[in-house]
Amino acid sequence: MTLAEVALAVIGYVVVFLLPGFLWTRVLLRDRRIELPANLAISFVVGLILVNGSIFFASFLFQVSINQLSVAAIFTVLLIAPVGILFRLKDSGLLKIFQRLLGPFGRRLRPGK
Amino acid sequence: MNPEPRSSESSEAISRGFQHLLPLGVVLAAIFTIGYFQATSAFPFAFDPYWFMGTSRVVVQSGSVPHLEIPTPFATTSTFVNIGYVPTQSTGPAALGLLFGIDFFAAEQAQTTIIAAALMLLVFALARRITDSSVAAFVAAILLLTTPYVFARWNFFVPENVALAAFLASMYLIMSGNQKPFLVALLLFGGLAFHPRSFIFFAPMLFVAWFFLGTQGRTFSRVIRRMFRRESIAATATLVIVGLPYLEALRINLYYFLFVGATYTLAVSFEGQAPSLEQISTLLNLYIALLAAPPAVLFALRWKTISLGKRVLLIWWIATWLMFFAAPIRNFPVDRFAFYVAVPTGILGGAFADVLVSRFRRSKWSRKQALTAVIVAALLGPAAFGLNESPLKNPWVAWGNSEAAAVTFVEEMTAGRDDFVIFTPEYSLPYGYGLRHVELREEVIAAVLDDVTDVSELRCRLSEEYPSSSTFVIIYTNISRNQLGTRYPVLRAFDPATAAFARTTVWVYELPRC
Repeated sequence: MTLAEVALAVIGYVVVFLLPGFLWTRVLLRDRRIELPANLAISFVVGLILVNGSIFFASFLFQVSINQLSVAAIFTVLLIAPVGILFRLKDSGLLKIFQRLLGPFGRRLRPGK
Repeated sequence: MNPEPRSSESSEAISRGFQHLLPLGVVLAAIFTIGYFQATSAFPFAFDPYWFMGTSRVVVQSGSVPHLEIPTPFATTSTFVNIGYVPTQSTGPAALGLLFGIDFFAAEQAQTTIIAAALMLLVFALARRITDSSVAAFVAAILLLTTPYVFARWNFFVPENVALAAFLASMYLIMSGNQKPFLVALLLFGGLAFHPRSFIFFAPMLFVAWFFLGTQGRTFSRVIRRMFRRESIAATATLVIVGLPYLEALRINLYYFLFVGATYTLAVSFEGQAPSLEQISTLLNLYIALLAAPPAVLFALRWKTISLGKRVLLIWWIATWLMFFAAPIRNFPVDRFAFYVAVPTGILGGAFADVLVSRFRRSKWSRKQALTAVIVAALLGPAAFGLNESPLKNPWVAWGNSEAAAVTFVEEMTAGRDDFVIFTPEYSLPYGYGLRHVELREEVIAAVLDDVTDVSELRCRLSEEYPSSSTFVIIYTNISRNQLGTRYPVLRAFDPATAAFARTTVWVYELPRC
């Protein structure tokens, strides 16, 4: 294993896990500010859960075969969806609809002062 | 809610402190990372990524994530059983392999290293949230990282990390007032899906965290004060009582290290405490019943009129029962315990460092001296790891119901006898079952296994090594057989048909003298 392979693996993890995680964290914590170290770490964990969990449940529940195409599709959806929510839907009011769809989970537990 | 605004003076002090410590942190992190990657050559047979690398390969080759059984030839044995794990841990490297063609092993190592970094960052953020001190936060992060090293169970970062990281992230969100229930639920339950058994460990802790830390701007000293308030004292007492049995792990390890010559941390089995009718009458249960039941009935009757504080007490009551039923679960090895205990150790250590630094400040010690003391404290962990004499610092851990049954079998088989030696390459052999005459010196185990190639040779070699024993009990699992078998072929030479005890994952053999 060369240094280049290790570097590629690290960069790959950042792209595949940190990026979707960061975007989804932005969606879910849109109007809340958290510290940068925690934000990064939470983003990575959220990405790990979302990407790996999606692949697992696609295989386990929907019998989707795990290959390059399906994994790329899952990754793309997980990447594009939060971008769409954050930018495309931001001004259209659909974000509020999205939050309402989440029901009690979409509301703040404690409104900020 | 946004985090509490800090004063500029405080922020400046934090920045200054952090600037001093940052280079050291970078150096330490680099040392750990290099050591971790070098482990591939130093301990090629005892390294968890191999396990997940194999599973990743199964994912890619079979096109599905293994969850129940994988037929041969994908699995090395006829069945591939994941006990309680959703193997998403190995899905990550598989996904990377498919998308970028990255080597599974490199991907697994990158994953582990990055999650370790994420854990450190989370503990750093948590500790800073509690103590409002970067110095404390730094020490907390270092302690988190080094505690598993001290226990020589770094490999537990691999299967456990996502659940733990998700738990810490949830805790951070609760503490910082960012209580987005959806995200907290995603983090907690999603993370626990990686390791369902963790749920019974983490769920009560999350209740407690919610209770003690849920309010904005709560510092460590306030948390401590709150713990000893009248309405909290019962919850604190419960935490202490529930935590006491875990000290047994420490006691057993100290005993074996000091008096038996063990060179590695022993996996202690906490005996299950699922309450039976007899146990209900014990003092502990009586205490809980007496203390918890009347308020619970009262709360149930007057829920709508009672105050928030008393509602919290009800949560404590539920958490107590959860902890009582779930925390002292069976087969909770000390390895995992050590890993989880790293979190409170880190945070408490950070708080201690905070106290230390402020005391030094008051006693006119210079900042440099104070920081030196903190750095020395932070280095204790790696130093302790270096003093660990185990040649296999990353032993395989294969622990499940079958292994428990095997050990129980051995315990019964050897009851009342003294003419035997238990000789096993299973470094995670669970202790606390009353097993006796176990060979704990790894160098002896390695030397004996190195010298022989078949079972009859092993018998003779063991007879030489232990002249006063007439029987040798060999225990091994399929993981050590498959992984250590490359180095020690004798482990693959046993005939399963002659096993005294056989399960799909574990075998016990009783060999007479040569």
